[in-house]
Amino acid sequence: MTGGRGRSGDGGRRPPATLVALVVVLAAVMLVPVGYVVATVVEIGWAELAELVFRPRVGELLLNTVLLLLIGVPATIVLGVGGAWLVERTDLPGRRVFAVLLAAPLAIPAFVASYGWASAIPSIHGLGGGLLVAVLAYSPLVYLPVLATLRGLDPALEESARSLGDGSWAVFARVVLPQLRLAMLGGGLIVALHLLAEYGAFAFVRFDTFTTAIVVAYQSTFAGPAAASLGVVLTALCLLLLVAESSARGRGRYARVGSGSPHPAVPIRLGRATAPAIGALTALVLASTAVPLASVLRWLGAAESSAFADLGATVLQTALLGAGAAIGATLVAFPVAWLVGRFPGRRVRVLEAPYYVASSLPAIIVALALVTVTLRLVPALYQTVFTVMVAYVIVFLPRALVSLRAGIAQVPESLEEAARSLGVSPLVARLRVTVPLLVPSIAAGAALVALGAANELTATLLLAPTGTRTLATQFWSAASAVDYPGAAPYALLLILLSIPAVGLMFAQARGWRAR
Amino acid sequence: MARAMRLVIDSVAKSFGSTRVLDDISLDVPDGSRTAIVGASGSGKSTLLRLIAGFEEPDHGRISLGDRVLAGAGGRSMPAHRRGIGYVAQDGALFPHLTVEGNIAFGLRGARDRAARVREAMSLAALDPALAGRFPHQLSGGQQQRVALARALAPRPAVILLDEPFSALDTGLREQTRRAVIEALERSATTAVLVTHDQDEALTFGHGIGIMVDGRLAQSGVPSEVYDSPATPEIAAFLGAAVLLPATLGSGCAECVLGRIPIRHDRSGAGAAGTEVAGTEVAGTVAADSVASLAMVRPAQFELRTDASAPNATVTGIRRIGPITEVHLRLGDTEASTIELRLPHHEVIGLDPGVRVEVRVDGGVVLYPSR
Repeated sequence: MTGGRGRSGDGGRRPPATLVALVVVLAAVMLVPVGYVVATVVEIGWAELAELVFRPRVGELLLNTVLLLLIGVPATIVLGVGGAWLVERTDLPGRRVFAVLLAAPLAIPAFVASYGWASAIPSIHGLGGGLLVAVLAYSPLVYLPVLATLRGLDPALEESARSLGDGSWAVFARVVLPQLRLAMLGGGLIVALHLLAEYGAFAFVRFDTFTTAIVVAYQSTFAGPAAASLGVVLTALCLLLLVAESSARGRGRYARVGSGSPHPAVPIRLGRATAPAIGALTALVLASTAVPLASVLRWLGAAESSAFADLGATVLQTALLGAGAAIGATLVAFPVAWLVGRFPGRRVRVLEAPYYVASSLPAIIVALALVTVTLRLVPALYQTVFTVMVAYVIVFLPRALVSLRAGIAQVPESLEEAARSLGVSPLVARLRVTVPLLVPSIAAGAALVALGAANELTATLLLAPTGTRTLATQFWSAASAVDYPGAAPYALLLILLSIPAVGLMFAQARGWRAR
Repeated sequence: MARAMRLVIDSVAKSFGSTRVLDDISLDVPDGSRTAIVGASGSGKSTLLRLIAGFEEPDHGRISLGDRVLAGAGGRSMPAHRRGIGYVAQDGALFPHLTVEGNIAFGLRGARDRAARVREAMSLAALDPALAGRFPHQLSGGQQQRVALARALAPRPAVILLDEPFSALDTGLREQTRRAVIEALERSATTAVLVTHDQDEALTFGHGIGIMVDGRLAQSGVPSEVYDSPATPEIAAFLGAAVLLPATLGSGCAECVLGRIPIRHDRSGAGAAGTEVAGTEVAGTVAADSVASLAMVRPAQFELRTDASAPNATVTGIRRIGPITEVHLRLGDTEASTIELRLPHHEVIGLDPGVRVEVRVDGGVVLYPSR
């Protein structure tokens, strides 16, 4: 992966042809689910597709999904931005503790949180139930990027606005909020994609979305036209969201433009708003973390010893699948991250885009695509560990890619050049200098992929070989049979397993442009 | 310590896309000498260094070290790691995961006397041995640059390349580190090429200097000679303060507002006194029939006489700047030529705006054609 002599039209060096070819081939594999959707449209034909799509049931699902997005995404943004601002910019008592607790719901998979709520208050159901569970579970996805951006924001901007006559609220609305736009949009997009992809959390509260309907259709008619047509609509919604988010970003600058070193912001005095702020954050933490956790512990207390019998084998299988997914995703991400990090430019960004588009599709679409492709083209791969791994890599690749890309960007090429000037070949320079420096990035990305794979439910249910037992599938198997005590040990392990990864994400958010 | 060799760059050119970055560069760096390449940002000096190091390949021309051709022999270049050329990057490029000792030992393969070589390199770079176990982030900027130098010196390279190694340091530290680096290079007798945008740094670095302008080596030679006799008024101004006075040529002297001044060097092409200064090479030619009309004088050549028998200047302002005084002068009777001289306080006692003085030029002028 050495640089060639020339420079590309973008001004950077031209990447080696073999590297580009590898990235293109991998992108083609990543785009299999998109290809599946296109092929479905062609195969079913417009007439039949229209008949399948334009029916009352689809209208009902569409309404549910749109309402979920229209209410759920703004709600997570309000909670995420509000929480981040309170812990980062005010003199709120206990803000360091709240800063951690507001990220804690990420350690509880949404379907476990939903199980906690539904088993504690069975009357929770429908849109209200879905919104309650999803907003509480996913608000940290906005909170963390906003927290990171707030920490990187130069307080001099706010001070300038104050000196120009703006009060606290005006400064927040006119200076801080516009700077948070990218973080809010990015976090909001991730929340929206999660809402579209979520299955378990909504199944518990009996709220129908496209994803739950596809699973039901798959269970009754396998990968037939009904499931496929719903998949087409779901994919269209995802792509629409990606385009909407991209066009809403605007062209303003969001980086610090001045020189000189930034200094810590002076906390804003909450005064009489202190008590309501503490009350609101406490309620949020109780609802998002304490209720599901208490529910899991309550059912754990009622669990019989047989509920723990399979635990060892399940943990082992989960760890093996997670490790496999982490290795696979890292291996696929490496050439892409190298291309993007070492040869930046417009053409390279075009090559990178398919990886994110593919990963933004719900796992159910990826699973349907792989079921169809393996059955039609390579039946030997149907319901194999390999196919599960491919699904995990497609779904969770951005976690490894983003981490590796950031790592590569932080290892300047001048280090490798220095090594080469000391008589070391390019390959050895990479092994002795670049790779050791990338270890933290590789480990962080791999841990996040492994965690995602361990928590993954939908694709695993559809693709895993018979007899496969992961923490998520075993939890689901017990909980969907209303064996809440039997599901509790798996739920607790899923939470415990997630804590280190959430700690890592929190540390990354807090350390972003550390002062 | 080093296996010093002569470095020869012959008619080298390099383009990135449609942008010509280097054009017909030729430079000879003798054994054990130190040469500085100075130029403004974007003049191509760092690219030249990267071509020598082997990080980029020239489009045309040839680079050789001793009897080895590094680049340009039938289109194939010798890889950077086989050239035996040390490189010190602008930011030091220290490996952050290795200690000082690990960094310095990086290029020492299978050396039995590894520890001794590390100690020797640290001593050459005037590094305290107690720093050996520290990581780069635990060092000051100056220490980091010295470690980078020690690391580059440790494998005993034939040539060492320094890419603006002092530019990231603040003024005091820069001077101190520069001295340490020059001493280390002197002690190790290593051939060195420094790239810098700092004229003072280039002029004091060593034996040779090259001026890069828009991808071309506009002038090269011995620093004092290049400074005293710049090829063009632009180079004169780039290398330091220069006063350009309108002048005409007559009887081997320049006639200007300060009177008749001997010509130290005639670059006007009018055929007056003075010849090419030995050892100084100038790119391009000057038209033979051009008329001399600009005389270049360095401010240090001016001598101010207050007991003027033949006053030729008027004091227009006095400004005290710390330990010295800046005297603003109008030369002759018109507003056309003004100069500022910086003098010790005791030399300007009694000078006030309006006082007539005599300004003399010590050492002659360099003559250029009119613009």
